[in-house]
Amino acid sequence: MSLAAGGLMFSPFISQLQAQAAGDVAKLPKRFVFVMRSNGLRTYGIAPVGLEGLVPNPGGDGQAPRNLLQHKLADYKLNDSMSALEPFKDRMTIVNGLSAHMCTGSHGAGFGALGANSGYQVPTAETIDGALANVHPGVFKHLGFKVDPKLEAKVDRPYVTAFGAKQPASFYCDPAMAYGELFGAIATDKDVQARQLGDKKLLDFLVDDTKRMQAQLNSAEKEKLDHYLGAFESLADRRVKLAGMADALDKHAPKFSDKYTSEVEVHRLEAHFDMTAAALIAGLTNVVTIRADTLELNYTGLGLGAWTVHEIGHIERPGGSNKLADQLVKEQEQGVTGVEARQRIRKTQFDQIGALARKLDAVPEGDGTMLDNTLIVMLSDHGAYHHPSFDEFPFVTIGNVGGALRTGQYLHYPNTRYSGNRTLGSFYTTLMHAAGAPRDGFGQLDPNLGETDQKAPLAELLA
Amino acid sequence: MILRLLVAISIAALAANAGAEQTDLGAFNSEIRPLLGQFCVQCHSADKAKANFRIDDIGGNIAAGNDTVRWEKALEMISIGDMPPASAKVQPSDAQRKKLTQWIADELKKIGRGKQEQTLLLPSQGNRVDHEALFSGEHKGPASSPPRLWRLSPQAYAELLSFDGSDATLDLISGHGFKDYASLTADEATVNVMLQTTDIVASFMVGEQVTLKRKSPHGGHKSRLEDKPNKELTAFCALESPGEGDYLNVVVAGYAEVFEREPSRAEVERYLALLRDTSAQAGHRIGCKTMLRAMMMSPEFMFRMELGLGEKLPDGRRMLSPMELAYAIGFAILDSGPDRELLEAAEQGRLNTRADVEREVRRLLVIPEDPRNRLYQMDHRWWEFKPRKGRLLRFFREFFDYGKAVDVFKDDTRTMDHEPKYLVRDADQLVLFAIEQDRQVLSFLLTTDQFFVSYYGAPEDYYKWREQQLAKTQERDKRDNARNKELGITNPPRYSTKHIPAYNLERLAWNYVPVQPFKQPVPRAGILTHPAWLVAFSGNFDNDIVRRGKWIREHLLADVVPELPIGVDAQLTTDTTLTLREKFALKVNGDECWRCHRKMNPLGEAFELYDDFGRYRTQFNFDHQGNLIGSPKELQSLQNKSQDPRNAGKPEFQITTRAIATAGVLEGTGDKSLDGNVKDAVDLMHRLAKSDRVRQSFVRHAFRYWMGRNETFDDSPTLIAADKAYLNSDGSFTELLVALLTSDSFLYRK
Repeated sequence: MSLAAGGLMFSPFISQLQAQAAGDVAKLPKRFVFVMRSNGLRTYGIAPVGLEGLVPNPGGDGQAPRNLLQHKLADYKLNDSMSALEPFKDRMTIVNGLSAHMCTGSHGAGFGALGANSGYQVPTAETIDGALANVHPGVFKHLGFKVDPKLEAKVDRPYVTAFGAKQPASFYCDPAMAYGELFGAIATDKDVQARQLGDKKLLDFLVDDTKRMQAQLNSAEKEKLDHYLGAFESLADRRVKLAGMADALDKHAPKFSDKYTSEVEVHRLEAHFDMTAAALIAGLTNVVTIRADTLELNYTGLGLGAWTVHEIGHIERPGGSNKLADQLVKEQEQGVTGVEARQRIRKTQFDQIGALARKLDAVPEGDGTMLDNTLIVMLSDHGAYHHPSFDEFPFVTIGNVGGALRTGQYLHYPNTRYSGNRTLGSFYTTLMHAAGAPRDGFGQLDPNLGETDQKAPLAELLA
Repeated sequence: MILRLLVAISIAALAANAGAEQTDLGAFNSEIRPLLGQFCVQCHSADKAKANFRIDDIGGNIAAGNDTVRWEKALEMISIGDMPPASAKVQPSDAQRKKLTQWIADELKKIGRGKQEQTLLLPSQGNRVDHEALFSGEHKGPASSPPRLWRLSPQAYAELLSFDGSDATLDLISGHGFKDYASLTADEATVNVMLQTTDIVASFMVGEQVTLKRKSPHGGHKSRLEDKPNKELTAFCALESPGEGDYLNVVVAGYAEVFEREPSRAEVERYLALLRDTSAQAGHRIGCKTMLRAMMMSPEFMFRMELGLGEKLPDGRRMLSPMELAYAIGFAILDSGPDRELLEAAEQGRLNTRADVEREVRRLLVIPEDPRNRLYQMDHRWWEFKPRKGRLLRFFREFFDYGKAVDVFKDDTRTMDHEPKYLVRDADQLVLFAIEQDRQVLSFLLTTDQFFVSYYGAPEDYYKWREQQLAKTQERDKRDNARNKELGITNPPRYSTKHIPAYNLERLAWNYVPVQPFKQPVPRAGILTHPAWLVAFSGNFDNDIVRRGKWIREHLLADVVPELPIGVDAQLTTDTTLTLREKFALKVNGDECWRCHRKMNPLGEAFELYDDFGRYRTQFNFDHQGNLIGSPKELQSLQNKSQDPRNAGKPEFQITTRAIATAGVLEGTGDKSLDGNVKDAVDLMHRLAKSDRVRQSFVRHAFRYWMGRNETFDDSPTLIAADKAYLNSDGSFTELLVALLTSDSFLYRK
């Protein structure tokens, strides 16, 4: 069997084309994109204009609701930071009021944020994106992108995604390296093909070599080599598949530009989003997680370079009046409050999400567009605030995964002190339902809340 | 004495308990609740609820999810010995404390909560083993490490491939502290990077034109791979069509290049099969490179094997075999692994006993006699300064963590004189100097007021350079020389002095000091008052009192600081008229934050003696509106304006000053004569340096670094012996290392 033929057999892009031709919606892939920011996704920062008063807010008098609030987004204007999403209002949902007391951590819940568990810095179980990738693996089972504060960082294993206990996912930090790995197989050059064949032989050999070694070890050390072995196997597998997809890659690869090597973190974020769109469209993966920033990052591209994201999180609570002007670079930053600084960052991230949604919406698929079979989820690993209390874990979603989710609404669940409060676990259970892999609950349970509710999906969200 | 209990020791018991189990409420009511009542409820009830925490109404059915978060907090505070507080009249006995913590941990484990086992294996958790008990002598061992594979560190991997770049593989622990730990493995991300690295290195070996930054061998120990393309490999690739014998020869040549030994028959067969198979389909050049990469990525290359293949003792422990020992010793001291002498000793039966190990360790640690070959001397070209014996240096770097200085962002608008990488280099030289002096190493590094600054190298070399410089006749040189003469500079500095204001030295008026280290112009006491450390432990705009205090607590006092409790919203005011200490005083003193911050702030505050660039200071400066002037540049500009006669009497250029507050409090040295109020950082460091506990804490960290794991009570004899060896040798780091590397913990596996 030739290399190319092997690739074709595996390529989901082909089955995707076939499904499309046959008009079979059920067979169209279900895709998920998670965008995770640091510092919290403030509840008042995502509530539509006119509804901010329902939550504690910079104006001052909002209180967490006692009963479930449901509003049609069509009746409201979105928060300024989310203006890029206005065209998608009927296809998105804003969820406030979910609690996440199964999580732990002082600055973000680590693996627990997407895992709904207390894993924090050690993955104790699969996270929601890991679980979805396990259910709907692509050529890349999962793609992770991280905007790293260090320009020279290549790859990292942030405390974000896990495929199971002790199996953290790695994230590309260097957009240029990611580009090479994702779209490098386009090469039709003979030399390059020979080299790729060499890589394949190498990986196959190392699988055997490592197994041979493993046979001589006790169980604890065997496990250590398991990770090494797993790495070879998945890399080998992927390279074969990529080789079979050269045409699709050639067609959809983004244009390589300065963005990929830029010192400005916002440019690198844009590059990661570009690759996310291209990878989804080319059929390279079905699940992407973007670590949009970290606490150590400085947003020089937004004129906030003097402060790290961590420090921005510490600037003045809502309602305060202290201006930063005296401490910020004076010429540039007349009077930016913490609220404004965070708003500026949030807007940049939502702008990128809007651009991604537009790109997916421009690609026909089945009876609609790719966006119809995709769900983009925005969250913060901190929940709502810089130092999380886990009383609030807000989400913004765009898309409905082939009609599985009800959209166009603002939902605000009752606060954790009142009955009717729902959890992070319920939200992820809902996503598993939407993905066609329903489960009885997701993650750990909050022992102080009823078990039935926690294991059930959110009825208001399911179509 | 507060006995801290190790949660980790209950891991085996915990694992056995896994599964959906219920809490035995009978045991809770009869055994646990009375203990809580006796020691906790008095302060944590409805009436009092100190720190806003009640325990009188806590639900006992943990497995059913009662009050999980409260139980976790209670477990953390009780197990690290912070509760009941030392001031409490009644304290639980060791047995009672153990009963309580074990029960809570067991119950939490049933619902997957509490500290994770994997987490407890990380270096940052090492202090959870009670310090007094470790050094009390009550634990007799026998010590051993588990049989294990230990992944090569990124530095060792790079060194073995002679590849310049520590990103040849990846660090597995990001952030602070020790990075190279035996509990870690290699995963896809690492392998991905290695695929690229080995491709470049293999291309170089077969003589392809690649830009490969080759490392120069360190410390006189030759790198395993040759510094130029391999002739046999290159010749093979150049062949039109290789014959039968060529294939066989190139396997042997490749094996020698990568592993520095002859392959066994089985090894030849495996690699020959790969070579032929790949060559047939992709050509023999690719075949050859693929074979080389397979060797460089094989588990034998990537992991150090420490299984314990030696003799078995009656107690079940096995000693490392001679070859295992050669590698263990080699990698303990050198990134390049065992040198030829070690391998020969193992092959020739001269690496079997503890005495053999000691002989080899001493040989590798010997200090070169030629003064020009000192560890801290820079190479011929300073920008290629690469400290020899990187692994020794890295221990100190990761222990003190001053290397992080380069990661802290400081805005140019605050000063143009900040060059953190030079500060780190200066600190490296101080550490290497201390290693080489080998007398009271820790105490020297904690108290010395002599630093290296922009060091040239051996004094005679400097003088030679100066002669040449003065003799130069070009216009610019003549101008420079004249200016120096005018300013009274007899020793012009050779290298960049951009960073020296951090040492309170004046850039344009500094007379270079040829013999270094030299006494600093302002009060300093060791690495913690070195600008590199001060910057590493600072924020973008100010000192970081909390992290400084935390570092001292954890690294010098062997203490545990609980993680920030969930829900504490510790935001400092941004009032620009307050100093950092005043901001903290508003926030943390007295309320529930103080419970943990009392461990850190009173230590960190002593370092207010320096600003966040590491400059010594005696006063705070405020502008006419009472705002603190936070940057050297701003101060300079305002001073210039206020001194301008045209501005005389104008209030907006007035600068007011206040004396800095540098007092701190030291507690927890275990020595009443050292504990108490301290005047400032210098006073603090001199006291810490005298403490037994500080020395022992240092020994514990050295243990972790060289054993690649956290200590247990069984390692107690090893730690005590190492401490003694250090003490009896006038503080020789060599003796400390010899003790560690000849200990049962290092030599035996079980």
